[in-house]
Amino acid sequence: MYDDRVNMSQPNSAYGLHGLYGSSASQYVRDVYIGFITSRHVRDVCMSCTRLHGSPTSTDVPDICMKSPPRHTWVTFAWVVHVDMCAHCLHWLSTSRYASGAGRPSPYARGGDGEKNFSFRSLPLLLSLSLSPNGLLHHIPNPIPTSPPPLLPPKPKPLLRLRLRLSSHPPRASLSDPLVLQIAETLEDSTSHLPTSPPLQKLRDSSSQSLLSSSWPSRKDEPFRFTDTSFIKNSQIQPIPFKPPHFDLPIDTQFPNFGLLLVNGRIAGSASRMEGLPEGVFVGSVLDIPSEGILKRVSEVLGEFGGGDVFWSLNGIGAPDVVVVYVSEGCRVESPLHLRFLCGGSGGGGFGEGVMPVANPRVVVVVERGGEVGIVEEHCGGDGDGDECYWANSAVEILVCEGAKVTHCYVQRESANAAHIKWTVVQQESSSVYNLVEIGTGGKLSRHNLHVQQVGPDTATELSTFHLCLRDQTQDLHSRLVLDHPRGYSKQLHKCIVAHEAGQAVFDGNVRVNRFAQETDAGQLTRTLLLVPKATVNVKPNLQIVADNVKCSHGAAISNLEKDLLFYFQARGLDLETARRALVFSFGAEVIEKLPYSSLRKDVETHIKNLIRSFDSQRQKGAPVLE
Amino acid sequence: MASFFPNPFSSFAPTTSTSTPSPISLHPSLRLSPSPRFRNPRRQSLTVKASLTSTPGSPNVLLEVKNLTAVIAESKQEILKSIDLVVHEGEVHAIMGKNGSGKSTFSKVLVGHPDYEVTGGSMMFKGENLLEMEPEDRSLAGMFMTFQAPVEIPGVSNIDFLHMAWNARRRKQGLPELGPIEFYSILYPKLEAVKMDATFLNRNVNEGFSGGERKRNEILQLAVLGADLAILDEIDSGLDVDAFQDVAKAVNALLSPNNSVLLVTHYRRLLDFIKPMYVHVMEDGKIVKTGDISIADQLEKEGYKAISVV
Repeated sequence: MYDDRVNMSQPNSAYGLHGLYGSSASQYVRDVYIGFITSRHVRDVCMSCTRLHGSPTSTDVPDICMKSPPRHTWVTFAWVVHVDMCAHCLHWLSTSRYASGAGRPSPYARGGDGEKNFSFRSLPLLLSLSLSPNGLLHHIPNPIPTSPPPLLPPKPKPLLRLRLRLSSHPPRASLSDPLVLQIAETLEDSTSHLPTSPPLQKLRDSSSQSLLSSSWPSRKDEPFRFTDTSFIKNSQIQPIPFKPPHFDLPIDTQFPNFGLLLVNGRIAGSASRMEGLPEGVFVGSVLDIPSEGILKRVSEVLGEFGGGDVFWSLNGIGAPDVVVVYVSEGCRVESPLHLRFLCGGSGGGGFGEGVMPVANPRVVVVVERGGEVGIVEEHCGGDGDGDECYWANSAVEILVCEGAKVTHCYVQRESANAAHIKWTVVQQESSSVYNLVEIGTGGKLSRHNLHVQQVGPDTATELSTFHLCLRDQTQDLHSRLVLDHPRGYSKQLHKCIVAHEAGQAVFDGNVRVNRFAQETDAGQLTRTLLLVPKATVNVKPNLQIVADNVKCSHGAAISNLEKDLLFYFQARGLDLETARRALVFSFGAEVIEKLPYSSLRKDVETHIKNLIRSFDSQRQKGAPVLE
Repeated sequence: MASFFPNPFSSFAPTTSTSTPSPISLHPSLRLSPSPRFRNPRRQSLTVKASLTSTPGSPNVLLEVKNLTAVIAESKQEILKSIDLVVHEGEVHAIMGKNGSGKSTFSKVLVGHPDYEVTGGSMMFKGENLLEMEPEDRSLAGMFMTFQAPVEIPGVSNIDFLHMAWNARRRKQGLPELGPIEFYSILYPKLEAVKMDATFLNRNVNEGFSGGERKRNEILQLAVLGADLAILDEIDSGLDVDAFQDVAKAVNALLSPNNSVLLVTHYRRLLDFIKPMYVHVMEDGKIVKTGDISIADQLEKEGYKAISVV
């Protein structure tokens, strides 16, 4: 019945442009089509690429279609770029351009709000991929020595310097996304005066380098095909000034065990509780690392796992500090370590209309051989359960060394208007155990990118996620588990509930079982409840198996509440409301039960029960229900 | 049909029947009500073994079903074709019949299962029109049906479920709700009665339960929640001998002069443990024969052919 709302999709390289982004530099791309461009953007392009086709004239602006949404003037316009470029010195050799008349359908024109916000700013990156053999032949020794792949300026350059250079060379500017550069710039400015340490500096440098070739993701990029990030993009992004936070928290009651409070990415020392940590454990700022050994380990890990996107790099450049959790060899931390992230205005001050303050908390966890630690990550809005608008762009890197165990709980309850983008990158060495339990309920746009890489045999990985969309919100999990070694065990459970007609859940769960990952046991299951008409879920469970002696499974189920279950409740005298509430809650209970700490479990249970209750009371006021 | 007819039996009224059912005799020892009466208004030739007038102090009518017809909601296929049944307080009725004769449908229709749609007739329970009541209201009014195949409810523990249902009843009676500890003290003796292990309480409702455990769980719910009319739909299927006796004992323990039971079963064996006063035979959506336990004996020996009126 709701199958048409569900996209069980395949990668669409033939359909979108992501094939270009994903391709290696040796791939030649001659023709690039872009559809639905605003005339404003066309002008931008003409101004910025004068070297390509001369000064813009009024004839460069194609026919204008006035049937557009009021905010933009839309044109139906196909743009063909045919560029030869030297891959080494990045000089254009020849260009030609054809603008078709209005009404020509673009092969990439697709519906959805994301398209309205398509920016022509991404054209320069496309051009940068348009390489040809002519271009390579053209190469003459150049002041910038490079080695392939030649897409990026090879040497890490401070962004600011590069920016100056860009302004005098318009074609060079076209290699990057101006929006991304602009955000990066403001982030860089905000952190430039802060104290730094070698690993942090290295992170900032490598991030700024990768940002030069990053563009803001559009829905034509496969990883963002179902996730519309225009909510962030259309806001004026502004870093939160790093004033000393002034939260009044009853410290004693806040953390049952060890706890660290991070306000907009910086440790609020006064509200944190770290006494009594076992010897061999360090938790704190990267600036306070007590020994050279730990510093060395941290710089080996920080920013090195890679695999990130533009948000990962923006976090790297904007992180005011890095929280380090270091557990030395054989050390077991009995009580969980609680990291509470508060983002938003409470730590910053007044922000105007349309301004989205951004915070970039960064955490790195190193658990040495045989160590054991439990980490509770809790993300909240600075104003409690309010509706403040901010963007929490956080990233966590975890190295689980041989025989070590990390139990990771991740609870996301950001404010109702917040954007929450999160990266979790994990490397598991041999015989290590990594368990993640994720509960996500908050935010307007919430995206979790989870990458787990196995770097040794006999690992065990368990990933459990529960997402709840009771409002007009998007909950997205993109997970990727790469198994390269024998006898790995992995189990993934993803459950989500969408109970709002504009609510959306996204799950893209990739498990790769590579050639040498023999005797792998990998299971994945995703289940979704759609409780109201028009609620949307996009699931893409995908299992790629190269090894031939493995046990793998995956499954996806999307449904409403079962009538038989509801009737069973009714037959015992319980009304439909109670039955629905109990069943909706119990759907998530399977994941909540996996939270290993009873106090946290109770806390989460209460929070979710309250959410469901308030949702129910709203629904009784007349919102539709799927019967 | 005369509405004044104070008939504790189901008066079978096949509209197009041509055969003459054999006279029905009731064993006097089975009669709990002072004067059970049987009469078919259209078949004056039938033996009438009781007086027509109601004696003072006779038990109240608990359930009165008249001319009930019902179809499957989705396919509109007619399953129940005119059912008449009257159950008084304190009576035990058994419904037997071939597979597909409509026994389970009848019990589901009584409790308001949404898969079925009532197309005609009436159902009165304690003087209230069941057709106007939601399933939960029927339950709260005192009807309880044990499911033939109870569903699993993942994520809801048995004790939470019972607690919720118990408190729903308390609310209905205008009594304050009970906390988990008080409730447990009520629950514990019932557990013993159905010989269930306390660990079952923390397991999710029916999740991973064996067939026998599910049936025991249904009886536990019945024991805890109580019912004026318990409808036991094939409570005996899938039980081993010991479980069978436990369940039967538990049901017998629940019987009181005010409680009635409607048993749906295939086997005579259950009727040895839970003695019915009346046995009804269903065929093709109708009650074609009503009598005492001797019918069950006859069925056991000769099969449904002996009873069949078609």
